[in-house]
Amino acid sequence: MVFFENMGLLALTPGMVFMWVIGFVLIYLAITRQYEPLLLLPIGFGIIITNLPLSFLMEPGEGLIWRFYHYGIEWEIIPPLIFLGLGALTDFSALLSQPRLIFLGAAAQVGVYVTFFIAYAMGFSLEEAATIGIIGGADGPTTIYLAARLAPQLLGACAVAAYSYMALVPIIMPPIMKLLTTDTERKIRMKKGRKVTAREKVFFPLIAAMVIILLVPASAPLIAMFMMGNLFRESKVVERLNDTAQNSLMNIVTIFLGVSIGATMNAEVFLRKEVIFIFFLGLFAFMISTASGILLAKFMNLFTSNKINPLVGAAGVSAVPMAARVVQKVGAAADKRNYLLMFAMGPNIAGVIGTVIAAGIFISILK
Amino acid sequence: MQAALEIFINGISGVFIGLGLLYVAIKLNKLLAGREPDKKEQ
Amino acid sequence: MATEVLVPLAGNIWVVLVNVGDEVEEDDELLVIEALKMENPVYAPCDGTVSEIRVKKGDVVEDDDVLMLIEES
Repeated sequence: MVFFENMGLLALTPGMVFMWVIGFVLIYLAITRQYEPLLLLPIGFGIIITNLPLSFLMEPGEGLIWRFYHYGIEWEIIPPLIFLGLGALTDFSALLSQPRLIFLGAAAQVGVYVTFFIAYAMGFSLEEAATIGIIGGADGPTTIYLAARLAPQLLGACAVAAYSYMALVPIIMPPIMKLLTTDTERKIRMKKGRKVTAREKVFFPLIAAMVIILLVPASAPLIAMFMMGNLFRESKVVERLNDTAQNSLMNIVTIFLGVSIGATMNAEVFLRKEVIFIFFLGLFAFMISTASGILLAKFMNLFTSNKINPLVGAAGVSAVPMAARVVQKVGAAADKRNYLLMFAMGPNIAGVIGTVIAAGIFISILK
Repeated sequence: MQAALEIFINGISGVFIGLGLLYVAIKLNKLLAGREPDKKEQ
Repeated sequence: MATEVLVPLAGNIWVVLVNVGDEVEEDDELLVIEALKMENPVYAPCDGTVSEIRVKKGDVVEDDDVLMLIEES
């Protein structure tokens, strides 16, 4: 009977069933442990439905989810729109009041490059290694943007690795933070920086966009959107746009993003040994990024009497604001009256910009 | 290997230079816009 | 002599844990400030009695605002 011939059930492979399990696990983690649910829930769902054969959801030219993926991700529209929302949600005060913290955000990108190098040495192509390395930047949209540009075949794996490790930052970072700092260093109280004026906050996105895009034009799509979003926020005269950018637009784009990414992860593409390497390398990248931020802070302390608490360096890992919260917790554990949270936001935000610059540099060299 | 090394060095320097310039820009921004106009004669 | 309890980090008052007239000891939790979805307790700087509370739940506070006064014992 024709009906039975068209049943997807007959075309099922064990690989697909295994992918279902992965999808279910991500959804479970999202719901019960709240691991990055905004992304991991739709991603998990996308994984399950793409591994239901004969649906043609990802059929090039026709599939529903293929269209989301093609026009949203391949056309590089969605990640920049997420950055628009992120810019509208970001308060740059912490960075503006103590600008030297920007270098801790730069240091954290070392994890990206070290991982890039090792991935290349392990046999990945330059483009693939770059995409795997950028996981260390701990920035989901940048990872997706770079993967879509340089190594779309790794998009799913890298995105899931990036978002999973971002959720696991409270577990990954503290051991490294404690290993690399002494108890005395962890207790360092930092002096508050200068108050930031409203005018500074309005000028900043304009100046930053111009400086960065003049230097690394390939980072323009992400930086321009990020800074425009921030300008919406700080100008205080476009609250409707600000609100949309922060809320409705972010939500809409996140929906399309999540399900598209998940849907790229069909069994054929995902169940290969490279993916296991990617997960290990991604974790390694996070760890090196954490360490480099801390180490630069310690180094900077050799040259200044206004000491930086090295824990704050770990927040260069741009999982905003999770990394900053982890710094606060570890700092408060050493001295409960030490409130490092706002200081940690400086490197945290700088790290986002740093990761975008890193991605821009990869694109300019490899494209 | 050669290409990877080049990218490694270009990359890290690029990030530091980029953020370094941004640091300078922030300092300049502070000079230009950093004073609270709470004196009403402004 | 009244000691000021100052805001250690900007945020919203999440909950005030003491009342005017309460006896507190150094390091007691006086109130909790929420910032970036994290709860941050503010601790008593000294022993004494709470003489004045200048904030309530939901208030937005800035760095170095005065939260409450404690009469040192």
